[in-house]
Parts: sequence; structure tokens; C-alpha cells
Amino acid sequence: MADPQYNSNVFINCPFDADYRTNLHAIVFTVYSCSFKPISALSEDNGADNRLQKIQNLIEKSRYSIHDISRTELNANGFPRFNMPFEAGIFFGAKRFGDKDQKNKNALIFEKTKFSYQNYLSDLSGIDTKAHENDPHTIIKGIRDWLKTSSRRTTIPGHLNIIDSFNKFQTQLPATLAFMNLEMDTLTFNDLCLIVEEFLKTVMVSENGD
Amino acid sequence: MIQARLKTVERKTTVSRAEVKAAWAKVLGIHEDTKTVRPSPKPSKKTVVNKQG
Repeated sequence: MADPQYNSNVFINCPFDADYRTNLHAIVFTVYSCSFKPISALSEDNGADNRLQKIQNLIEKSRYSIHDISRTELNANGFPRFNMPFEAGIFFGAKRFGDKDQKNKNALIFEKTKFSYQNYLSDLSGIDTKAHENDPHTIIKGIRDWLKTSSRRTTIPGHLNIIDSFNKFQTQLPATLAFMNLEMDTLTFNDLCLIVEEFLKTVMVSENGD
Repeated sequence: MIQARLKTVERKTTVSRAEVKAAWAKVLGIHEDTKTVRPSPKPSKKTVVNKQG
């Protein structure tokens, strides 16, 4: 039986390091702004499951998924990072071989520059990837437009509204973290989600004048 | 203005929802009292006249 939140869950498969931080914030912020729920391997805290099992479980209960395969450079030890293409592969496998719910999965594939994936992941040929140019505003528009067209929900706001709100969020985030004695460098995925949720609720209530 | 129907779910976090809510209210300069507490409406002149009549 599918997870009750299946149609709202968005599995996020992207880098989680400091260089990617603003892009991750943009992804989480946009998913929430569009009334969906972001989940990632970092949102689970069950030490009994191994990492692959966790990822498989999360993919199973997510109709939607965002995969950023742009991080192709070698790490400090001279090795490439295969995690993101691997998890994208699990998602496509679930869509291909899963039950009726799994077959209606929908994915957004981000890369840095258009068609660069052809140099390192040519099996994706024919898939309509989106280039984000490492720009959070481009990421916001890409996710918003994808969720709007794939879900056909009428409640999804325009991308300019989300960008405007995101800029305000980013400006005020350091002060908010300081108020709670949290640090940007060590902010957990779940804390980020909670902080985004409460920002949007606070701003919405304020702007509605309730 | 974003009018999202937020998917607020409880996660394992290092801070509480109340702490985060208070932090944003402080940083954004929003006072909880002014959002929820409204002054009682004053009785209209018409109401007063009717009572006297």
C-alpha cells in the first residue's frame, strides 16, 4: 500500500555540502512553497536501517524526485561521486518495475549546463534535463514549473513570488539561526525543513493580516 | 504572496517548532499578540439609543 503522503513527497537527491548550500535551501524552500513535502536520506534517523535501505524506502514513498547530477568533479581523494546518478537509477528502476503507484513517478533531473550529462551519463539520452547554471533562482523556476505541470495542481504560486520570498528568507536566515544558537555549517536537513515551514507560515499569516 | 498549504510534519529536529516560531517572529518583527488578539468592538450609537428607548 502506498504511503498516504506519496503524491506530495518529493525525494531530494543532491549534494549536501557547503558549496551547494544555497541551492539546497532553494530546493527545500520551493518544494514547501508549492505545498509538497521534501524528504531526503538525511531526514531519516533510524540507525537500524542501512543507508541503501533508507534510500530505497524513501524513493518508494515519493511520487516525485529531484536529482542533481551536476557534481561530477573529482573529490579531494581523486574519485568521482557516484551517489547521485546511482540514486537516480534506483528511482527510474522503481518507476519501470514497480506497481501502479510507482509507475506514475515523475523526476526532475538537474545538471549544471545543458547536455553536459552526455559526457558522463549518456544513458539519460532522451530525458529532458534542466540546466541550473548553479543559480538558485533558476532552480526555483525549474522546480516550480515542473511541479506545476506534472501535478496539475492549481494552488502552486508563480516563480517570481517564490523567488521574492526566498530572497527574504535567505537574508533573514543568519539572524534567525543566531537567535536559536544554531550554525549554518552544521544545520541539519530536518532543522532546515522546520525553519522553512515556520518562515512560510509566519510570512503568510503576517501578509494575510490574520 | 505565497499561499501554500504547508505539509508540516514532525521530524526529528534539534530545535522545537515553538523555538523556531519565536525566532522568526523576533527576526521578522512580528508580534504574536497583534496577529491574534483584536480589540472588542465598541457598541454603536444605535445600540445605545435602543437600550435607552
